[in-house]
Amino acid sequence: MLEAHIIKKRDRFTVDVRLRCPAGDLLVLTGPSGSGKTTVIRALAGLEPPDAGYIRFRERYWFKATDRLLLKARQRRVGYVFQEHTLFPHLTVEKNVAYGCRDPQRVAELLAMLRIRHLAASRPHEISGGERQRAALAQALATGPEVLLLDEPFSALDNQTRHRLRMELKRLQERLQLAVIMVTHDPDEARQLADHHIILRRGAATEPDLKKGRLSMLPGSLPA
Amino acid sequence: MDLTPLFLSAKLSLISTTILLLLAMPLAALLVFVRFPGRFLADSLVNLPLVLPPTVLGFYLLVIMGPDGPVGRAWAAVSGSTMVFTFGGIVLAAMVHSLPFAVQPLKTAFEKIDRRLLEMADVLGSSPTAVFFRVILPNATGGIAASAVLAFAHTMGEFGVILMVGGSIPGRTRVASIAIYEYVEAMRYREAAILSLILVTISYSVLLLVNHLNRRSSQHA
Repeated sequence: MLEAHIIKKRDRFTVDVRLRCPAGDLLVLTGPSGSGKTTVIRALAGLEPPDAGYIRFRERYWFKATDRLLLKARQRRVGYVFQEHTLFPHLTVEKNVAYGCRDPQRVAELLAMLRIRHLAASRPHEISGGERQRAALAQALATGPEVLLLDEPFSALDNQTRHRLRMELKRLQERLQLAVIMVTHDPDEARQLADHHIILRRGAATEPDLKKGRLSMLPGSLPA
Repeated sequence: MDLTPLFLSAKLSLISTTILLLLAMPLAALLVFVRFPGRFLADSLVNLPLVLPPTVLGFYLLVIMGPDGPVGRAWAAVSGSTMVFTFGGIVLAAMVHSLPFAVQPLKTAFEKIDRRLLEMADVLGSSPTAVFFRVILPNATGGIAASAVLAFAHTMGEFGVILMVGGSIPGRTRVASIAIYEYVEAMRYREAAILSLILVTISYSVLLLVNHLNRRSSQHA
């Protein structure tokens, strides 16, 4: 279970979000541009320290403001797929996937699982957007993360590829029993994937259920 | 005609550029990627040789590296010999004078690297040292080459600082630019012209190479 209360001051408002995501579930963060979604996901990854609150995975704190505890990104067991494809341009797809993983067998398995084995020797600029995003997903999974963070991973893809990758993500998440936190602008994506859903507006969770202490809601009750 | 000064210049440039690059790469990374108090002052200090007259820089280096200076004393304690008027002394002086020429292209190349690549490497478990070797350097090859070429060319034409720190000892510190000056003083224009022409050719080739590397680097960015 990933649990967090993230408080982070920004220029025009303060992000103040509580979230909870059990292993094997997918929590979707939606909201308008600039509402603090990326701030939350970057805080979870360890790329931007919150000003207050805590982040805990299982019994281990990754961040605890009161104890001044802050684990670096590399000390957390997270996989992160950025908004745009950020594979290392100087490495082949295979070496990109192997960047954080020394087990060649796992790398081979992931290339096969994400159906990019035939692209192993290609450079990122030689492959399509969908293939790059698959490679990015394989790279993020190669370190054996227990939490997968996805920052609008499919936003730059065409509808067909996006749909296919959503299905693939759902399959992977169930198979690997990962806690997945995903930021998206797309209500369909949220409806299709979310086990839990948080809507952010100016840094605050606006979903009425949250005020009663429930941090998640079922996908069926998602506003259109 | 004696070509020893030319070979000495080439040897000086090669050695000082190699050592300088090894120091300039982490220094440039520090100035670009690490926020620390006094970063602005450190950055300006690195660029100081660009604006100082070579004789002023040479004078201070002479004082620091002389038998009573801190660097000269430390060197004497380790090696038992003096530092000024030696080849080792002019290597150090050339490195100090060429420092901005080595650091600036590296800084420019490092600044162009997408910060998300560094964050990604961090999330994937890389230490800052590993990020430097596995992500920063491979994505700054154009800048590294430009830095090496510029530092090499600048040292090849070095005059004032080397004259102050090394004098003009044939076979030891009498580099091409000093030899040209002395040929002119002795009215031996033919030798001065040949050496000058060789230096002009080297410098022009180097500039062509830098332009080519810059163009290639911006095409890949």
